[in-house]
Amino acid sequence: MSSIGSGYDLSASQFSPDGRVFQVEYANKAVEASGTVVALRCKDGVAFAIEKIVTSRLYESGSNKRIHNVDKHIGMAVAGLLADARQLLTVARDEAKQYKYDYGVSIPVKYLADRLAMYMHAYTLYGFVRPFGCFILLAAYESDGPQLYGVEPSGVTYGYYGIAVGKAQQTAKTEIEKLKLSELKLEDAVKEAAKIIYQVHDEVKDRMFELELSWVGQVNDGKHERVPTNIFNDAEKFAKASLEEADDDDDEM
Amino acid sequence: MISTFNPFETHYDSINDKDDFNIGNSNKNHTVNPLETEAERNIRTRTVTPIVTGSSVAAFVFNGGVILAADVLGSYGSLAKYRNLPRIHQVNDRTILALGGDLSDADYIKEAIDAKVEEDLVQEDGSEMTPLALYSWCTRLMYHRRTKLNPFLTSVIVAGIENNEPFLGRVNDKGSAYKEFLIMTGIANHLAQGWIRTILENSNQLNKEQAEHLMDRIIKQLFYRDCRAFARYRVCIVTKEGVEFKAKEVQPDWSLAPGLHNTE
Repeated sequence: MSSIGSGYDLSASQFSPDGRVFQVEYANKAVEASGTVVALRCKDGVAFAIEKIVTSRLYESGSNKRIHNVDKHIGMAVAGLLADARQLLTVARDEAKQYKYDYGVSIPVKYLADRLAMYMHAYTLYGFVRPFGCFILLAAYESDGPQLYGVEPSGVTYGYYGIAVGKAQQTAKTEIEKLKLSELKLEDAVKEAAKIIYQVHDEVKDRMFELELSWVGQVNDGKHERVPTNIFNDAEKFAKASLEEADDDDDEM
Repeated sequence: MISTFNPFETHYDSINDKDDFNIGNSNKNHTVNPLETEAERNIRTRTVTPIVTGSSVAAFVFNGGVILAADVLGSYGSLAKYRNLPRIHQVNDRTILALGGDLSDADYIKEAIDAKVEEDLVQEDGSEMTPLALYSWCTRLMYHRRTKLNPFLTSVIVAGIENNEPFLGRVNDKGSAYKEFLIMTGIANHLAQGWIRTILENSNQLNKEQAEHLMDRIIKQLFYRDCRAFARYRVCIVTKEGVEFKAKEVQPDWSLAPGLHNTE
């Protein structure tokens, strides 16, 4: 990590000779160091599952949530620097509020993603600010179906069917590709997302973690919310059970 | 915005004497820039008279809750123009907002409160707007506008259940606010408040059916005597169990009219 940029990485307003902006790439490294986020867009909704790594038993459980509501119908999941994400959350909420004030309807998540991307991109243009070190996922269930968008620190945004961001993003991505998302129902997608989190969680490096689950879909009328307690417990049980199955398989061999 | 008036500096009348180099204005010391107060700056755009208005709102506390009633008319002066504008709005499960007077200002207040409630909802901490909080917020809002000489020309009635007790309060366009067991705004203040207060003071607390019946009587009386009243109205009843709305219509009996000589 020492001399990758070597002189062209001092500010976001500099290109390197091979056309890279190193500050933005370093921002991505901050994202890759955070706990994994898995988002699945299935047939009738979107599910978020987050591995919230807990570094001490002294922390109150439920502190520093990584899933937030932007508007009643849009959920935001965060990977990367939480403090940066908090500012983006405020920006997103203001955008949604202003859109509602101007046009009388809730902001479509595609527009919100675009505006957030423009905002994040602005911070990659100047030498006196640094890019945001977080990857923002936005989900909603709108009239034309479920929508899932992701905004990177560089300011690009894509629409996704399924995405994993964070520490174990490669492993989690392989797991997501095994699922047939277009046929999955939201209740099952929530369980599958929880299962992937449990599977990719590294017991050695990060002992404790809290699972955060949220959903938005036809089942709750497009209102984004944390998963109800009974569904949460079912999903956790399913995830832990599948972990044990995998262990048993290993033992047999 | 804080005034930038400095009595020790030379001034000039910025409308008439534009002196770009500030050269010779010795006889214009200690004059005040005429556009310095906000009231003067928005002298053309501030609210002066109400345009589309709602008539009276009647509300009182009964045993177990609060009952409010308001008709669904938006008058354009003396023209009964908009005949389906409900003026009682539900903010959440235990707070009600009723508005009378200028209806465009009423819409502004209602939209501001709805946006506030939605903003609080996404914080996910379970806290809700209570009637007292809404009442305080409306008082601040109305008084602030009054201070800028640009008032909201509406009366705001806040009702609901606060700490398991019925709450009823009113804020007027001057920002003057009070809480009472009986509130009437508009002309109902003159036509109905007197005799209703006598009834409510002399009776033990009314139950829900009696309260509804009394409210129907009030609205009927107002319909007979208020020139800007309307037969269709909404009644809202708030109790610990929740909020209930009813749409009703006054069934007036005009047979007594010929006997009243002052109607000719």
